Amino acid sequence: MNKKTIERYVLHNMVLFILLAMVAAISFLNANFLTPSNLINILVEMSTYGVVSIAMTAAIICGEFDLSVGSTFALCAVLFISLIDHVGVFPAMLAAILCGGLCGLVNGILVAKAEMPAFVATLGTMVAVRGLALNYTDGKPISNSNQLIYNIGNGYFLRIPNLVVMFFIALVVMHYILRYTTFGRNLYATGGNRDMAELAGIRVPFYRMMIFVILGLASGMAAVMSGCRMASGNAALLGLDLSMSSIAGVVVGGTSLSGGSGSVWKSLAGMLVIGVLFNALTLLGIQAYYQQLIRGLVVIVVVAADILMNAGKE
Amino acid sequence: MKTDKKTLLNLLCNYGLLIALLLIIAAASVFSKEFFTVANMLNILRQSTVVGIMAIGVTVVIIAGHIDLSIGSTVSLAGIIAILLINNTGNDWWAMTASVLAGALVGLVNGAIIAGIKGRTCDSFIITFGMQTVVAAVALIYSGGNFLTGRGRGVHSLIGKGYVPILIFLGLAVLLELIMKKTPFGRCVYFMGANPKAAKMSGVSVRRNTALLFVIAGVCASLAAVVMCSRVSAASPTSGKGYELDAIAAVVVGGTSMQGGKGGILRTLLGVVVIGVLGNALNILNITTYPQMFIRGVIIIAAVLLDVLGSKLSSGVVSK
Repeated sequence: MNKKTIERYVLHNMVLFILLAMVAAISFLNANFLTPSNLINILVEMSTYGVVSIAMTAAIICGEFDLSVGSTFALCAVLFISLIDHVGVFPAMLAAILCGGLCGLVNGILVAKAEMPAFVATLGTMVAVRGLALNYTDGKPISNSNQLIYNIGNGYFLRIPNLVVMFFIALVVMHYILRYTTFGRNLYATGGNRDMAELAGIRVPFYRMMIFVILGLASGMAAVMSGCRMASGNAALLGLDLSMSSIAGVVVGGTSLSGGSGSVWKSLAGMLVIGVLFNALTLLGIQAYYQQLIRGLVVIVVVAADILMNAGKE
Repeated sequence: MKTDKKTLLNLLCNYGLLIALLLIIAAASVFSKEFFTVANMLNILRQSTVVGIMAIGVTVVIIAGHIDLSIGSTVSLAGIIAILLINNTGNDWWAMTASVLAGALVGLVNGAIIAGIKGRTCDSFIITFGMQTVVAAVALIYSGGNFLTGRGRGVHSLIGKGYVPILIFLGLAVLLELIMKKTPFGRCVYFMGANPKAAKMSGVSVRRNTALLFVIAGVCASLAAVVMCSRVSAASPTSGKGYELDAIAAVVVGGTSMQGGKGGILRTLLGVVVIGVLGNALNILNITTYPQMFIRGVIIIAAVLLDVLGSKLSSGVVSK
């Protein structure tokens, strides 16, 4: 292992080293940071949005992104909460996830079949779906005191919170799809060079459409997780920052928005950097406005550094 | 020229938005006597000025193939600066100048970073998203998170009254249209958007122009903030939150392509008017807020769909 290999390894996994350095520094500054309960807390906090981030990783690898996931998330959450008393918990879950898939399908058709730019198509559905969710609940927050969803959202499986278990299942499934299936490889090919993929016989429109369906399903699943945890939903507030923070997690992890590369593990590291940072700033007693400032600066610095370094390598 | 089916379809796609605007106006005038009056038309224009001024600024950025998500936060910050300085110094001109300079500075930082890393569209997306968070935080810190009220008199309070905001909006639109169409800078911006590599090889100073683009967007956002704060004589540190997407929506509804190199300020003007007229017409027709949101989303999609269809039809034909 010569110097060059080490250098390349460090460059490719920079976010991992940033994470380790952060953990070391923060545990030195605050004794409460490196405790099991706090670390579990960080994971619970990021698990709901994390599921969407995982789907967003696949989308960004394929060269797409989605601004409407937050609205889809809100619609699915209020649908889930409101349906529980009428059809039971599990059918309501299924309905919410399918509703997410349907929203995703609309996006997919607009982008892949009608060939609209993803930014504009999902901007339109973002506004429209938020309108639907608000209209459905008449803008009021709704809640449900069902014991089963409370147990699902706040219970433990082998001493690990259920939500964290769900997050890691989603992570492993997406890792398997991206790494070991034809579907996953074709996503990389489509994101890397769309024309080339088309020439190689890959049905590019199909993959681009499926990406949005996956994003919709993930938003639905996240909505169910959030609904179970909080037993309530507010169409005006839920998921307002979901699309941007899930994209930020992926990008801070080192996956370029230009497509064709990336992995869920990188995104996990990116999400952890943001999650740990947020937790640490709170533990260290930094005011909320300064926290926001620091989080914004971290996104800019990490992304700019990543682009500069990779540009030097080419 | 044959007037066959294809030409007709082409015409529909190119002037679809104008036709849609006339249809909305006609339909709303039938349902309500108050709609098609001078007072209401001026009212629509005045209401559209804030997002409109932001939209014409960001149009320039979008034509160059970039995007700016930070302009909403710039509105919040510039508004806070304007009201705070007016209250503290009592000098309206100085406060407004400082506010516009702050907008220019935000734009310069955006532009310097993106030019520095030789950013492409996807890079400007994430960098300006980071700036959106940072600038929003600065606005909150600077104001202490407080809602500020102005004096409601002096030069600044006149900016938002009567014809003044409309004249500022239209004046800026004409100025930027002239810059984009009649100056070397404008032509370079179109060139950069259409083919960044070719532009660089032809000796276009891509870096300097990129920085300038974002300064234009920042200045327009702060001017929008000055107008907005004058209209309500107050500023909130979150007043511009989400406005960037409204402005971008107006740009794309007008027909400027997100891929860059195509579109123009006048198209954005049309987009702003269509969205303004539609909102007003829906209000007059007694349609409540939430269904209005749904309709607005559908309109954004429909307008762009029409545009995509139009460019497919006329592909191969050089058009401006």
